[in-house]
Amino acid sequence: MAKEKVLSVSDLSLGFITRGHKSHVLRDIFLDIFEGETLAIVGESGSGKSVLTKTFTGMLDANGFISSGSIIFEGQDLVQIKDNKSWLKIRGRKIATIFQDPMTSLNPLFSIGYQISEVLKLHSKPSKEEMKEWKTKHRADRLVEQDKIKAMSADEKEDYLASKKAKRKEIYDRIYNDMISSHEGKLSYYDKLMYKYEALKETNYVISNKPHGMSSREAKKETIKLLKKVQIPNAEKRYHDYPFQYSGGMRQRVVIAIALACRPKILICDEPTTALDVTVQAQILHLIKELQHEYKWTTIFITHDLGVVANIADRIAVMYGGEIVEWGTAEDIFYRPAHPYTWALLSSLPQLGSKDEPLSFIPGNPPSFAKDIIGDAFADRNVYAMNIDFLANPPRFQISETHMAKTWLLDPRAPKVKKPKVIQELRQRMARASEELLRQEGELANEK
Amino acid sequence: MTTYLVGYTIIGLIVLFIVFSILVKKKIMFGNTLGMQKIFAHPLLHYSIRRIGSALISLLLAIMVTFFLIRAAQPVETTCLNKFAGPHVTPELFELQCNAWKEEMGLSGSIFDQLIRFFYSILPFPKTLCRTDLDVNSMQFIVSDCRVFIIDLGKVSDYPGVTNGTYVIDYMLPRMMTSFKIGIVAVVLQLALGYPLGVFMAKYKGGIVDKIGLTYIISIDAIPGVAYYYIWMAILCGGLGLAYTYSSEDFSTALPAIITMVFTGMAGIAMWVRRFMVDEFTSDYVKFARAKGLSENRIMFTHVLRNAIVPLVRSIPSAVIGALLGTYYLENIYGIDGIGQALLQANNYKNAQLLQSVVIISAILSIISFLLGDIVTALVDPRVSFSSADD
Repeated sequence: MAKEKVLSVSDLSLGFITRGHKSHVLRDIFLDIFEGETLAIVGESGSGKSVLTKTFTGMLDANGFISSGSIIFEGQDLVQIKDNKSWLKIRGRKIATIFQDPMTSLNPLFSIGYQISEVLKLHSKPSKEEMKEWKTKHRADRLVEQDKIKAMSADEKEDYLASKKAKRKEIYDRIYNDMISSHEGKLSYYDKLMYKYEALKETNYVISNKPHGMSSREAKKETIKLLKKVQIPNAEKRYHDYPFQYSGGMRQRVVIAIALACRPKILICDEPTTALDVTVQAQILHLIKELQHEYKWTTIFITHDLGVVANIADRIAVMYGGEIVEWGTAEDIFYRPAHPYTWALLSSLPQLGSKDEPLSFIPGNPPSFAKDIIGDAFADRNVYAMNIDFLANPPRFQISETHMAKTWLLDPRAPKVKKPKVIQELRQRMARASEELLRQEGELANEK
Repeated sequence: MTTYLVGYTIIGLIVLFIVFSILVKKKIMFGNTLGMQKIFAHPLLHYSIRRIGSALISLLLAIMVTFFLIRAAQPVETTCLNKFAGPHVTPELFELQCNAWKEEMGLSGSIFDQLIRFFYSILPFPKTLCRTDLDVNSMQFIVSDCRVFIIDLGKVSDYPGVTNGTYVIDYMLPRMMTSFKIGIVAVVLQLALGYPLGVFMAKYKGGIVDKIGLTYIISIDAIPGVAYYYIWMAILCGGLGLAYTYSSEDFSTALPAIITMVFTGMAGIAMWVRRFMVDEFTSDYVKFARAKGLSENRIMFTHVLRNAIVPLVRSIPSAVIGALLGTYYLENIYGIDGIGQALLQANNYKNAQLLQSVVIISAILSIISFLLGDIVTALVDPRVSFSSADD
């Protein structure tokens, strides 16, 4: 693949300690994430998909530990980062996360505007090194200037200071007038005072060339731009509203706006549409995809719904029992699935079922992490399980350059099995389902 | 009397006119809320009036209950006999003295007569009152010390340490100020120490500070107040040599009482702050704030603290106003001549006027503090609005 790797997970194993008992939740994860792609991680609840992405931002619960492996991001091994300070450089700034429930993701007591501009201000803040560098430079400049003034005669000195003052005044006036002209409505005394203060601050920044974060005014401007970008109507007014005045879909849009404000390299969407109803779901997915084109980030999409994945993912990783059992391009997974678990998942998609046959489901429960898993984790629920599945964990079989599956069925010694009916007729059924989808979307568009 | 009345009426009308025109101009009254023309248009005003209205009913009930209870406990005729009868008192003099006393104490006439006069006296409008003393030699009343009161709380007589016929207000106000002076210092210190302690305990949950703090809070909860007060007295006065009794000249003599109050009240505040903060810390918005890249301190001190404080600010106005009423135990232990002590004494001496006054004052203050508590809550929590669903 020509694309560059953004993040590369290799041999990652992870566990939790609960009441003195160690349980292994992730085992030997290998995963490469490429720039600008949308990777979907699919799996049922408890398969470890959320935990995996939590390790990318250092948000693992306190009782979790990484036992082996590495996560390489921008030449840095994320597994080695232990202190929170180093995580702050990555979390939010480079890798942002959107969570499942937009209803509770926002702080109920701060206005929407505050919560977005807070991120803008924080992330635009100059680093300590930058400030230090500026300080030494500024000090040197001032010394030079003082020497210059000392060497001048009294008249020259007066002229010099006056010209400096005039220049300052000119910059101040320009900034202040700019602020006033951008203000809508009548200016109150308080507004004027605030603008004067801000103009003074900005003038200082301009004159001394000091690196600075976004001012409140700039942050507000930018926030309104972001709100418009996520299609919040009447953004200027909604800026001051509180989360309880927003609907669920709108709140998820705000959450996305916050992620936009971070300008991340990787955006992790942890089931972002689960709590929303279907029509809103489609809008949000569409929005994420649209913004991805514009901002060129990499999306990691966590979901348990293969139907959602089909529309947006470039590549898909299927997780089961803390392992990635199959990964490949969307084509690979939907048209040439190789792992029995992927077969079972696809067979149980209602979109691919037909009216005359019962909807298939996966019997049994996902494996418990309390005991160590011997052999293939899926063996208990697998109708194609062979004896070897209960004894040894299957190796990774590279089917093509983009496609991998972890099942003994791919071993050359394995018997040929008859795939489930849905998988055999996958192409026809897929075509039928997409026609159906297109028809529904057309209807929706007509309604609008 | 008339000049006062006319003067007050004119001043009142002018003030009313100014206030009213401001209210109308600011659309607080006669404005449009939710598309409806309303007299009290501002939701806060609307709410306050509704709230005060319902509170007045409870105030009325509280006053009536104390009024009847006090009269049932203290038969007027026996008190009169005890007070004025003697070998050298003629029946006429006795009658005169007894009636004068009853008149002064608001105890003459039937009980309903008394009730009506009592309500008249506490209705807030200006009225002139005078002291009337009976001159035994000339058998005539001497009128002196005429003053105008808005609310007439009556007079104190036959009370230790008080000149007969002193106005209740004159008796109460200095005591209230004493209680308040000590109480407000304690309240401010409680808040100033309790909140940081709670925050600190929540931040380093499970750490050494948290453990010590929890032990302290539990012991405060477990030891009964009275025992606890004496333990503090032993430590502060016996151990550290602070004054055992309060004297009004030297404020440092109030230190033992203040320290005891601070350490008692602080425990409760710290406990609730810690509890709410720990609760909030597990919520989703904290997780998302972390994902946004905010530092732990910022999350703690802006996001979590703000949420944790909302349920707690309601109690701040009542704590401040409650300082006016003092504490019963502590004031008695340290001999502080505050309201708490006055109430206990009034109860011991069965002084109707004083008891009634304390009840009225504390009822009014608690109504005000509840209202302020609601307003403060609405200020810090944008989700609270004063208009009900049907408004």
